[in-house]
Amino acid sequence: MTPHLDIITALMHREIAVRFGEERLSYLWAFIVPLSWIGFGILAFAAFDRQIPISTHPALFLATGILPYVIFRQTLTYVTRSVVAARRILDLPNVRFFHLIIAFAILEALTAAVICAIVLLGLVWILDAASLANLPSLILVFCLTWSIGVAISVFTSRLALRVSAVTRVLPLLLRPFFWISGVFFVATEIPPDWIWVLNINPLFSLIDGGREAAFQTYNSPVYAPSSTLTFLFAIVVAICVASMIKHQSRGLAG
Amino acid sequence: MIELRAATVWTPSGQPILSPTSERFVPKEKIGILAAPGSGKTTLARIFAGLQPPQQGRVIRSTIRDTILGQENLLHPHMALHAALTDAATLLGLPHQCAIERALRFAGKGLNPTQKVSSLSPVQKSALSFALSLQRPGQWLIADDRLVPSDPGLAASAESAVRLRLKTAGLIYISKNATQLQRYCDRFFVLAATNLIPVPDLKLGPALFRTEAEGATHDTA
Repeated sequence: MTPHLDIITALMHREIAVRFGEERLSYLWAFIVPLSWIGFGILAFAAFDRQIPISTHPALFLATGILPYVIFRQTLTYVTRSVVAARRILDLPNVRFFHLIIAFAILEALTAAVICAIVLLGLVWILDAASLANLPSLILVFCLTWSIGVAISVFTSRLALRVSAVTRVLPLLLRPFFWISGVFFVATEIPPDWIWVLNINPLFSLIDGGREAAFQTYNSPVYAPSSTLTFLFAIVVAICVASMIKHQSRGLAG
Repeated sequence: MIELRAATVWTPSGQPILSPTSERFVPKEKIGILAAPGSGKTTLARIFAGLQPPQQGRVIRSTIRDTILGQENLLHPHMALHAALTDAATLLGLPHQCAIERALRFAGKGLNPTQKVSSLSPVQKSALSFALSLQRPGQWLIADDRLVPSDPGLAASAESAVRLRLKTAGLIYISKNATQLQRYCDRFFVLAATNLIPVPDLKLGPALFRTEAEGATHDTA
């Protein structure tokens, strides 16, 4: 495993050099996006006199929806974009596609952890709100949204290496998910006959589960950590990584 | 060993590069392929290095992938030189200290390990990339158009380094420069009209290119 770890570490060094070198502002952008969305949500809620369905501050309600969505979206788009940007590295004999995916996915996980910690703890502190109900469950939700982002990025990155337009189209394709993933509402507000439609999207149940984990008074009717789709995505990731490691182990010594 | 079995190659836009070809290159052979500009040298080098498969047929290799000599962007421009060399050595599977010392010695004096890669001259970056990629162990060296850096200050030491490496490795050198091919290779091919034609030497090469060009003119007419 050591050569794999060394390669992944080297790729992370290079990516950090990119982010802190030529794209220093883009790293700051990672914090600005969720904070601006939360601000926009508060204004929209006030403008439309929207009563939030859980007894808490609107900013905290929005943060528990926006943060998992941002983790998913940033992981998917940044990993895909970074793989495309580093495609020439794949010409080096020891470097494989899965090295790039793992290196960039870990970096995104670290970025997401910092963003979530600062935004959530900051809001709890500023709003003097009661502490989050079940922090380990909330962290599990964040991890699952990250893993869905990574799983899909395996496919989008592969595709983007062949069709460059994928990196430009991807944000447009993701836009509807912002509105249908439960960022601004919870499952109990949806007519029971329609819940299954939204539940096709695994983000919906995960974000609702995040609300259940964050707020003691809310019980999600749709969230289960081992729900079929989440489980399916985890299996896809496992199969992809296993097949790539098997392929790699034949060629690394070369 | 590298063996082509009815390997057929064309560009993504469908322009043919290599018609179905079967050929076998044994270890330590020094293969020179004379190819005209724009005939698909880089794609062929990638096929021989195992970086991409042919569109049809197969390429059978005793190792999974080989290095194309002197690849650009091996060193990240935003990193300090020492950190960039360390990461590049890792990605190539080389022992760090030895690889970095050799690369710095080859690229010449006056390099500061703490300076940014972006502050190096193109010649220095090219020399460092060349020195690193040459150190990678493997059965074959693959060269696309240029085997050694063109800088006169480096040519002599680069040539001796390549000669030393070629004692244990085979070479597939694809170039438009017949003189350079004859300098390093002992078995020759000409890529003409998408055919890989074996030739005893490269005197016939330009004539084959002319035939190809005349054929193309005739087709257009």
